[in-house]
Amino acid sequence: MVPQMTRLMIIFGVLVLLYFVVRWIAKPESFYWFGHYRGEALAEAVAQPLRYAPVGDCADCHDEEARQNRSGPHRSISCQTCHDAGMDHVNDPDQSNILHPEPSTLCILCHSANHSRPRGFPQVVVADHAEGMECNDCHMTHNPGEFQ
Amino acid sequence: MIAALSLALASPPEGVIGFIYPNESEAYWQFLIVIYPYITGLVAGAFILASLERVFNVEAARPTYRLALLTALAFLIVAPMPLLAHLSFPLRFWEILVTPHFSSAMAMFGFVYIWYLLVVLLLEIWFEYRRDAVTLAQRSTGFLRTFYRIFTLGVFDTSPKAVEFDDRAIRIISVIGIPSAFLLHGYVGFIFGSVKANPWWSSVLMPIIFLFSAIVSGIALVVLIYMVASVIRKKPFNMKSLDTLCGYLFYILIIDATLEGLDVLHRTYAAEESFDILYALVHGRLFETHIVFQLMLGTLLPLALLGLIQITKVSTQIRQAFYWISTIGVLVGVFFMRWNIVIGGQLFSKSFRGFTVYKMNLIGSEGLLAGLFFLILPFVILYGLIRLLPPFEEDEAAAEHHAVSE
Amino acid sequence: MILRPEPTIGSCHSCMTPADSGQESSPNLREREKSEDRRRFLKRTSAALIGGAVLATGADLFAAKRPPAVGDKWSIHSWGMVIDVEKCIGCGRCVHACKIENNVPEEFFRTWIERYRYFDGEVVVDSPHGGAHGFAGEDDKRVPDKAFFVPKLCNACEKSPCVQVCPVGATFETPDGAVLVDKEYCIGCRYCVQACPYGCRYIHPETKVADKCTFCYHRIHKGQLPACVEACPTGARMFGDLKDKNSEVSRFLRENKTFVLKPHLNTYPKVFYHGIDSEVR
Repeated sequence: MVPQMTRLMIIFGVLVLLYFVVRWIAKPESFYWFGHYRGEALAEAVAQPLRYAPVGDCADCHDEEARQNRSGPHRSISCQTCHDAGMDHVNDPDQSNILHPEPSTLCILCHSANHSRPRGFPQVVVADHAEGMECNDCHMTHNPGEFQ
Repeated sequence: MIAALSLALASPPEGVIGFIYPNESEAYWQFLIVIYPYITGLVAGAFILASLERVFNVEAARPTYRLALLTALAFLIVAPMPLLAHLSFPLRFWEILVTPHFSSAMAMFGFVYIWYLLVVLLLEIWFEYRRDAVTLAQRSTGFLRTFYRIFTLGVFDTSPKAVEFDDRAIRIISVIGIPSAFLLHGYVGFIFGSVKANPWWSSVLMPIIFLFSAIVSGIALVVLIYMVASVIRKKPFNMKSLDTLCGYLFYILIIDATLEGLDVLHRTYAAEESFDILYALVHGRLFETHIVFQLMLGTLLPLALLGLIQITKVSTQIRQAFYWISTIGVLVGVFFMRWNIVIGGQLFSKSFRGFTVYKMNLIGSEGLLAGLFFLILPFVILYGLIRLLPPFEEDEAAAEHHAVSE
Repeated sequence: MILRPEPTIGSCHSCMTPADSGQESSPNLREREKSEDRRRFLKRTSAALIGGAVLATGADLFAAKRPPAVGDKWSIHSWGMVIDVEKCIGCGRCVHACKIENNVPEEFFRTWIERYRYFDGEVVVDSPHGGAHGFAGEDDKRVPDKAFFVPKLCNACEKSPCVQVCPVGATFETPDGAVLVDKEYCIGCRYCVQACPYGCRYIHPETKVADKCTFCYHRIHKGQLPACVEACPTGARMFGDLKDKNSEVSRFLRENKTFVLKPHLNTYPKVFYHGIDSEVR
């Protein structure tokens, strides 16, 4: 074989070899377990910490509020819809308090009159309805169907 | 209070018209991703020009043969740089080589690039310059001597038999190289053309359009560099060569314009769902870059000037002027073609209801300065390559003459 | 594989010394033998190295290294969502909950709400701050002919174009039908963001990798609902296992006419909409 070819074939042989060595070193071990991705990524995704607490946890301590809620029009609404994430509070109730939302900023999110909401959904023009008062001046906080 | 806050935040971000999906406020592929297809296009185009001489024995392309190869190499060296700079994690680039996801066109990049660099371009340059390097190794001292000795890879055979082998090898490499060049740049076109989510990109014609505009830009680049180098070296233009090459430029530009015109025609005629927003895009946000730069300056003007030369007799002076204007026009036009595709595709919302803006920074990894750096760097590398591996006919003749007389 | 130049006929005459022009003296013979040995050694070593590399790669490809438990048997589930637009009131609690649960940055959204309003047959679409603050202050005096809210999120496509285009395998479909991003592996090329027809992906400004709705994968694997479903006060969002015939989503799909977004793109989304009309993209 001409010297050009031998020289070139040596070089290419070395490069191919190098590729396989690098591949052997660099490829993550869990790759291809379940598909074309790192198998460990599944466990890593599952390990992300919860911020919103599991749904029954609030009633374990706050049975009064839960009872009020259960008997009213908000019975199908989760506590954390209004009170935001509760996992920290469940884990350490003394250290971390949950949000106490202001009714005047919270209730209007759902109940302020808006032309785009479904007809028949309870909405009010807030300025006319509330006349400067807070919502829970009249409505019971956890059972708004009842009055204070 | 929350009502007031909502109102303040409700006004759309500056420059947005209509409705865009909230995550579309940012353009994710920016200046560097415009530059990358431009550079690989120049590589493919320059190489195909070089192959014209070898495979089809086009004598008139001989003076630019070596120059085209070196141009292709200089731009190929720079090609991966804008890509790496654009990644969030450039150091994870090895993942594309070690675990390429073969359903992704982008995964091909690592292997196609390495194939093209090693098996096509470097190999062809080696075979072409090998004998000169043997001579130059003997004539030089110091660092250059070491460089040339390494370049020869320890093969010092310059016998006629070896020369014959070299020529055959170059021919084979050129033949393999043409589809490889098509692959190197065509896959970029496919990266865009296969994105069904984006109607500006999604087109069967996209790889072909990319390819032909690449060939056009490559020819224009080599011709322009040849003319600039001749001026610098105070040598006269080889008009026969220029006339032939710019003839090729003209005819391939016709094909390119026809393909792009066909795309426009089809879109306008079929007027599918995305037509209205795309029409508004081209006549609105993209007016300057698309109509003025790409269409008029980059396509129609060169076609008119080069076409005139094909039809009637034009004096040498004017022909040269036309060649200057046309090559620069084509290069600018093809750059803006990449711009219009990459940036244009992100200026309208996939909801087809609105537009956003792209504001390029001056500094920063995707800024204007970074982009200009990657566009200028190949010329710096090319200068170095020209000094190391002389490509011009006079130098070639001198080296051969010297070798024979020893 | 001799590394010094071999004299051959026709090469530069000035290189040739009298000793090279045909006579083999003793020192040259020993040189010859040494180089023969060298050649044989190099050949054997390279053969061994190449053989070793091939074996290593083969072993690597065929070795069964999957550990038990994680990931196995998950494919009996296929997570999906149903959104009943007729129940959505645009309160934005879902967007808010998602932002808290998943640390979503201010300017990007894993889920958002769009509002469609029709005035004299013309539709106006908007999504002020993604709906995160609700639409309470967003109404004006105009009364639309018809209007509704459409919550949007990752559609967890069965034939996901974002997974198809990822060059390294950093985004993937889990065995149970969610689409996730591997933050440790993503290189940030942004191809997946371009490929998603629904605009649900973005690049996280801090981690710099692709990010998107994960169906709260960490919650559903602990028997909880995704945060947005949890927070929705009207039950407009329903989540469950499409392979379970008795799940809420399966029952809803059996009993109601539903629609997917951009069906012509053939992505087989697993988020189904009830009550949207043809203007929704």
